[in-house]
Amino acid sequence: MARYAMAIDLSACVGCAACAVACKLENEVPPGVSRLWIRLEESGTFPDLSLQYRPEQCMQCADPPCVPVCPTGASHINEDGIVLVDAETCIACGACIAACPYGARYFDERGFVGKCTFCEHRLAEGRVPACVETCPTLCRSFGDLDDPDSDVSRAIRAAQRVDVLKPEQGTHPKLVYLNAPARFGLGREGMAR
Amino acid sequence: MKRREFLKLSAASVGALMLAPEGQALKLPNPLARAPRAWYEGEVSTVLTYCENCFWKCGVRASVADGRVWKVDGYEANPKSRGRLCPRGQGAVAQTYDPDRLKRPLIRVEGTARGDGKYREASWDEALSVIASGMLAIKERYGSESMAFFAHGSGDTWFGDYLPAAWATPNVGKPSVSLCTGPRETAAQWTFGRGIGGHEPIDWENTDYMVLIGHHIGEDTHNTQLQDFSLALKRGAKLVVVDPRFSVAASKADRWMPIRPGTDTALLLAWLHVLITEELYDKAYVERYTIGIDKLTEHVQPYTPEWAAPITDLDPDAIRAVARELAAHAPRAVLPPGRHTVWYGNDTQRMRAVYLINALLGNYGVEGGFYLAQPPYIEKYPHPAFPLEPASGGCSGASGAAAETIETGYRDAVDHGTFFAKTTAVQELIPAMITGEPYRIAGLVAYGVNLFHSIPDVERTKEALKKLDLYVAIDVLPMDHVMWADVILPEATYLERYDDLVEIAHKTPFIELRQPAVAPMWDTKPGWWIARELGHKLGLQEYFDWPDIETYLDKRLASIGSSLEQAKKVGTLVQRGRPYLTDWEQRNLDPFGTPSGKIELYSQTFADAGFDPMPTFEPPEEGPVGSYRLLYGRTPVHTFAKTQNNWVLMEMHGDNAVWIHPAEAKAQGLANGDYVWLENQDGVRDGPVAVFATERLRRDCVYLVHGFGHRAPDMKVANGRGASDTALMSRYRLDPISGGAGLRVNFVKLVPGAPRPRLPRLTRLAERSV
Amino acid sequence: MEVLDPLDPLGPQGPVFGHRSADALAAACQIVAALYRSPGEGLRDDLESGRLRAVSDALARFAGLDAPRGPHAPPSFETLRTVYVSLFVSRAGGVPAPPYVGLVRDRQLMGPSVTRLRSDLEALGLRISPEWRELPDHLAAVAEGVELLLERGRVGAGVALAANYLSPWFARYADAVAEADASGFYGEMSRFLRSVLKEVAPRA
Repeated sequence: MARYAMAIDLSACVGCAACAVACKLENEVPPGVSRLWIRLEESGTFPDLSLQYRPEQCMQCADPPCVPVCPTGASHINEDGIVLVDAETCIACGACIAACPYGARYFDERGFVGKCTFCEHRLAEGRVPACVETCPTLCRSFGDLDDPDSDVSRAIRAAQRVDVLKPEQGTHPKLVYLNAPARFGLGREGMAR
Repeated sequence: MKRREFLKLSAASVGALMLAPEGQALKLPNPLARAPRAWYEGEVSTVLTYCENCFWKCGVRASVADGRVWKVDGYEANPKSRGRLCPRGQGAVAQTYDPDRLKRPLIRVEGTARGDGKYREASWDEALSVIASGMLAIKERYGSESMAFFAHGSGDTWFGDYLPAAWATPNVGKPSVSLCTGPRETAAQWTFGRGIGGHEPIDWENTDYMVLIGHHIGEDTHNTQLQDFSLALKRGAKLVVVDPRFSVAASKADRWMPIRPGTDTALLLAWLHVLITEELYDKAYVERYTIGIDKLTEHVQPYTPEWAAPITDLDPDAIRAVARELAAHAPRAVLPPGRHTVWYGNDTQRMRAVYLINALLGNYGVEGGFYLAQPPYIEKYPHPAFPLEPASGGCSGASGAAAETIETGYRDAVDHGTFFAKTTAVQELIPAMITGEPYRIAGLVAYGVNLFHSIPDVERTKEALKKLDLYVAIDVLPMDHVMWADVILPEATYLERYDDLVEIAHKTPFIELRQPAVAPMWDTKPGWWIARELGHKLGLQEYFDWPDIETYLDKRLASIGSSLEQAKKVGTLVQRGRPYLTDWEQRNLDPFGTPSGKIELYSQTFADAGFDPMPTFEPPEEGPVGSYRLLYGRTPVHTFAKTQNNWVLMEMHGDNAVWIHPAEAKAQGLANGDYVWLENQDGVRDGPVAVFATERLRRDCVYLVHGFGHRAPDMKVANGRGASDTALMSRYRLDPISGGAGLRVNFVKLVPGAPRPRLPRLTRLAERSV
Repeated sequence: MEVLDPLDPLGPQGPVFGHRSADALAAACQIVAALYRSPGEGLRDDLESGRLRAVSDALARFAGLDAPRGPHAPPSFETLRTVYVSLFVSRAGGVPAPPYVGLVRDRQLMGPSVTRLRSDLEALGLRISPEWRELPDHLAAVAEGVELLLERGRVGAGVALAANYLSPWFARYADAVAEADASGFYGEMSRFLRSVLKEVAPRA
């Protein structure tokens, strides 16, 4: 039993997409869809400018809207707090895709809905998710929120600023953004406690 | 109808399948289990090797299941990757399984011209025999020097060093020199007496203040460098970025200096002026380790920040402030050299100015500045002395600048005497193919060099190719220039082959092994095999007496008390280094290989050769009215023009756009997403390419990401996407010292009304089925 | 033609598949195996000796089709080699018909279908030869396997292999070749083989 979470330090991220490529191959994500993508925001006028690269993926919400809408129970939260889809029982009806405020799910043509799994198969081997392991800027931290010594807990404590995406949705994400550049507001409240 | 009515065809059963011994099961088990099983659910084995998807050479762990590589990850014990990989490294698998790969040797159909692209398949024996007889005919008629080799990548040890040396030609070109690092290597050689090398020896972990000049960490994603840079920022190191473009690094910087393109040396001279006139430099260090401070003091007097301000379009107070901040943080303050330094043709002098500032900060060989990178110790495979050793340099090779001309009995390289450094310049080998002066280059082997996407003046290159007696391309993909060759040899990808050991000069020198994770697909072969077989056909058996690469590698590894068996298990062999001046002094060793034995602020050698002994500023040429200086750079997901057929990477970054300031775009009635042609000062057009109107660029230049705009119909994913900056570089300005080709001397206009290209969706191409 | 269960083409009682059809299937697969592999001395010999003509004529008679003209007046072997490269190996605009089962099934090379094919071949007592300088799921290799099994009288096994790895995609594949080489030798032969296999190939 753990409460897995991820933190992404936006002051370090350079948007190189190593995470996105690693995810694609680790999880055999088909062409045309993705579990992880990078959003780039530019702000200001020359020469007073700011950039923000923001990797986005399933927010691993503590209160995920995608789970209650699933008619078969395929969409579920496992004992470690990871939101998953069971490919065998999924009927690819798309209700969860519509319910997710983050656009984090997609149809896999093999007949199920795909999404970020926090690479649970790696966790079982004591490894971190592929995106965390590979990041060349070391901007991602991962671990158990209930463990104060986990990488993610320590990174969140040390951060000057912690944000979640779309806090107004009340989803309580377990993926949080650290140290976002001052120009880019995300909304601070609403992280999973 | 009886069975015997059908004759047996000869071709039908010559060997795809073999019958297993009798007694095997005769019935298919329930044949098709439909539920998808992830690759990692089966038995997965791990192979340690190093990456080839850029040239940083990170150690990787390749995960193999069912005879296929599914994933590569960084290898923790490797000092390059430290368990992490960049996007290109992560995406390398998609190249190995690219259906567009070259699959077997091809020979251009008789009666067709180079560029027609008509080929037939050939056996390796036939293809190599054709090459060997062509080479021997050239040798007979013109001499062995009339064969040129262009090489890039790990395999350049075979096709840029070993084979040309055994064959005896000095005409070996590596784009990694005169189209990339040449000026900084030559400048370092004549300032510090040692080159920079393939892994920039910046002591990031101890630095407190960094100034990047046109150095795109972030877009470059050289893995270790990006990790170090990120950790330095996290530690609180201050960052100044000098760049006409608001780069990724600029977005992380404490101060961005949007300099007018081509005026960097003026800024550097102003910094030297402030450091010297305000007596901010490290006097003890300068006294002890350098010569020429008096002359430099006199030289920089006129170069005040106020002098530099109108030239650079920067605030004089900001210029002064940075010099003072540098001094305040010295010696833990550093100006890293960057990598691609061929900009305006006076680049060796600019790089000298960068190094002089570092020297005045007292950071060379000192914590927080430059460490002294040492190559690892290992012996070469014993072979008879080569008739000559080409001065081809290379990313991690010697700069060659210091090499004296050695009497070999062979003619000098055709570019000899056209510039000061002794390393060959790839672009300067081309005119001799056309003019026959000083003597004719009649044959070319291009290994992993995209001739049309790296060397400026593409029309000249095409003209040269048409005049050759023999043109051979060795590559993985049917690149633009490959489909011009007389003989095309398909190389196995890095995941399928051994290469020679790579020796990395580093704080902790190390040796990396490349070993195959899977067998080569189709009829592809590793570079070492191609070089060896060709060597034998050329009568060079004495240099290729090793029966296979395992023997060769094992013999070399034995010289450091290791073995191939051990290297296969550990992948990387790390040695101890001597990173700081103190380490050298303890051993009474002289770290500086300059003529004076000190860091040369004033270069007598340059003065004697007719060059400025200390850097001066030359204003860059201006372009035609209404045109913009063409700047170019990189994207983190692509390596030069090598990765644009990789569907995974193309999903991340699928084409380029021409960056232009919004006010300039608006003045021309252009909006974001409009398609334009780019037309340069010589009327050369490329595109169509989309407009990206962005505040992130000065108004006097445009910017393209390099490597797009392939006109290579055999590469389905890459073909026709974006514009080629190289195509628009019909001019370059030769650096008379290093031989580097200054590439930022081209200007383009945006010509509206270009059609939006009709291209298949990437998703469909990625699937590539019938 | 009996429709076979895709998951078990042998069915509980084995396939309903006549020996005449088996012979014809074997002959058709011989041509497929000969034609779609890299053209070498074997094919030159088959063309020059008239064997390819004889087999295709016999197959045409069996299937009630017009005999293809190509084997009667084949292009020069050099031309054939050039056309082969442009159709299957490398050509401007991209190869129109890459001959790999797995590419169709998995949309990637060396994907799970190749693993499965290898283990299925093994179960049938076949192995990919180490001399085979192509991918294991190359059309010619699959066809050779079918032919080899049928020739040894192992009809069920041959039929199963064809039903799983040839029938499901050959028609579409042949269309692609025919479209890319409309008036050529490979185009004509592909159209012919498509018609023949429509008659004699087991369906999965």
